[in-house]
Amino acid sequence: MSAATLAGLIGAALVGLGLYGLITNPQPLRKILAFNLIGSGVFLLFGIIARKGAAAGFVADPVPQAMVITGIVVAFSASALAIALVLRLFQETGRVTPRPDASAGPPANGADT
Amino acid sequence: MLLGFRSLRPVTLALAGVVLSLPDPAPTLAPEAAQNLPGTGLGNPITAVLIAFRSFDTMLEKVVLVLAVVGVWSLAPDRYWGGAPGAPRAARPESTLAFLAQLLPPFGILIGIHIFWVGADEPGGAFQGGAILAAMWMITMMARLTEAPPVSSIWLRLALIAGPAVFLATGVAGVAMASGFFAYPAGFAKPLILFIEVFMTLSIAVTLPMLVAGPPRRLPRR
Repeated sequence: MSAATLAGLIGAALVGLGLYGLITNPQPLRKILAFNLIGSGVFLLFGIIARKGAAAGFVADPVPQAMVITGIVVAFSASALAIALVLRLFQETGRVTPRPDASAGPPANGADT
Repeated sequence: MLLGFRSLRPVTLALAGVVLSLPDPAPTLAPEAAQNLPGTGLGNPITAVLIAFRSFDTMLEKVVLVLAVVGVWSLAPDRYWGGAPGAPRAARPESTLAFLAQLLPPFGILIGIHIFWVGADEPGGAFQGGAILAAMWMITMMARLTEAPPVSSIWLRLALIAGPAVFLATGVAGVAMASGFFAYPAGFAKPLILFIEVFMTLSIAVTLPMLVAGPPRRLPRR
């Protein structure tokens, strides 16, 4: 197994782990982290696919490499926006984790905490 | 829990299968990039893809960054609008972090500009250089040696939109000066690309710290 294949398999595992965290963790911050884990796995896979496309004297296909660069920056800004939303939610309500037993609709007594 | 495990397994296995069965030789755009690289005057194919071959994509991606800053700023309570993000500056900065924040930036700023500049021919570019410059500003803000500017600052806003604005203006000018939208005139591509990248680097170096600093949390100075 080459180093590139191993890195690709690790990318696949990162996507799986991130997906697991995204589904099972109720805390928004954990969800953001898990989502970034999925992103890291995708970037790694992109890097491996770019490397497979080495041709014409280049060590890798420059198109997926360029897309990873823009993808990393967009992922960072999306995470920053998500964390800002979570912080604002905490300032407003004092909590960010949804209650597991909450029914649909607003609480009957109007209290939110 | 079990549901989560079951759901991730097929996804991971499918991706792993894709990695193991990638076609050989793989489909690649490297020959096309190599063929068109001399037209841009650049030596780094990734920079050529970013600022020349897929320039519209990169310009819109810069717009996404500006939108993210708008989104973060819009979370500010009304009374703080126009104020500065971040807590007020402490009387005494924390000594260890302050030492690091005084030691690193002189080197980091040089390295950031260097990485942007060599990006035309070597690994590097506007994103990487801008990110290093952003880190240098962030560390001085974290050490409380500097404060984030108020969001009403015209200079801050100009710096935030300089990258996409110059990029878009150059792209539109391509209609008149070259063969079309986002086309560069033959033989003059490299200076134009570097001109765009200067403003891109500036915008990235300002956007990333503003995203980290968060919405305004202090009353604006009247």
